[in-house]
Amino acid sequence: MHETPSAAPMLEAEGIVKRFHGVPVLNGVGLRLHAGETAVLYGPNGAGKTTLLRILATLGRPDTGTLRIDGEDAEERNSVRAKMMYCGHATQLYDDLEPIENLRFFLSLYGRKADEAAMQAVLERVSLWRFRLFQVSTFSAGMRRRLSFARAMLLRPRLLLLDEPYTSLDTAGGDLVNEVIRELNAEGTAVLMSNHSPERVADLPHRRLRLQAGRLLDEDSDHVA
Amino acid sequence: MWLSVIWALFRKDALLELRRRETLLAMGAFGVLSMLLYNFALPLDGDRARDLAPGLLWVSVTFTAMLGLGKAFAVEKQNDVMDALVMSPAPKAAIFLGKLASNFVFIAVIELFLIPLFAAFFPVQGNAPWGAMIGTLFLGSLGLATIGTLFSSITVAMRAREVIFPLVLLPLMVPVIIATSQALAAFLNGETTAAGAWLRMLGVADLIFMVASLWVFEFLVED
Repeated sequence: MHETPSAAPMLEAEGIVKRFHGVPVLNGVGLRLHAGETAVLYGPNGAGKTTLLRILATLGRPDTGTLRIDGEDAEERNSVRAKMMYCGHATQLYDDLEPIENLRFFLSLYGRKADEAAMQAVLERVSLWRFRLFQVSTFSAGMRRRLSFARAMLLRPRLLLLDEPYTSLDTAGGDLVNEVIRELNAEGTAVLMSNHSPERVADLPHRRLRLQAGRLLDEDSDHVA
Repeated sequence: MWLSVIWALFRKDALLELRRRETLLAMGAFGVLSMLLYNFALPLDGDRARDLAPGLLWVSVTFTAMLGLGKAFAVEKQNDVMDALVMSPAPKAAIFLGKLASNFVFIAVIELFLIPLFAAFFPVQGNAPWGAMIGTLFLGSLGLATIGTLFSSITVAMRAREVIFPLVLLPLMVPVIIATSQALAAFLNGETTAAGAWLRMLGVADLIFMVASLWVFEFLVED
């Protein structure tokens, strides 16, 4: 997914407004994220972090506002989706399939050939290779989270959206997430994640964003993002 | 990409079914039980069998198919897999066609299992044109699977989906139910011209359902 580097921000959102039953959750959110950059989104429960991530992932539509991915209008759904990936709270995996069967299936949806060596490499990296013949239903929450992350490692999107990626992960798992994010950043992937634990991302170069009262603030510059 | 997405979904559903053995077993058991019940409640032979049996067969197939169709998208609801499907660049129509292919094959497998039972329970005199009848059943099943796949995706997130699914599906199925059972009866009675007319109607209904479902599914998952 890194064939066409572009000068435009990888993610550019302007004036995103979303209301639920008339109550504004996002009230004119704007955000720019450049290639190779990581931004971490903080905010209390119910602040709208997941809602924002889902809108940026084109899984939800804002009431108003515009969204561009890698310079392309997000209304060009299939084209922008080929460039990005969203890992939500749920693992988005089939419980009754084995890890490789899951990976192979999702690669097909992206029009990719399943490279057995690459799948083995990512499963080894997330310490799941020895469990490759087990169905996902037998995995712990942390193992599922690792497999979900392995899918992102395999697809190597240009924009990676992560909703609380450290949930259920042990220290080694969290370190692995940071290590892979650094690698992806070096390749030009932009990463936006929601998070509750600043100490978890302490060793990761990133920009801090805070979602507050429906507005997005850049904590590093103290301005609206 | 279309074919690889359709094949990936079909292969995945077939693999899950081989592992779980939930849908086909439930459908098969229900199909056999309904045949037995019809046989006990409506003992038919000769001309009465010729007139009524096709309708009974198709009603059995419809109710049996609904068991599987109702939860066709349940596996995509689990773990929010549907989000990953929607967020992928795969054409949404191809995702629909992949699910449709598995649903259609599941129904066809059950039909191939029920037809010998049907022939044993409701013997009709003379030579039944089984090839044409199986083709008619498959054409009817295509309409059933198409509209069933669409409504399964609509009702999957509903709390009362077991109740709502048949309530919305059955009224829409009326053209397919009428055309299929009438075409089967016409074939059994040797009225090939009438059977052809019913088959054309069935083909048109299938086509309308297919076009409408592809359009509605895309709209549904995107909005």
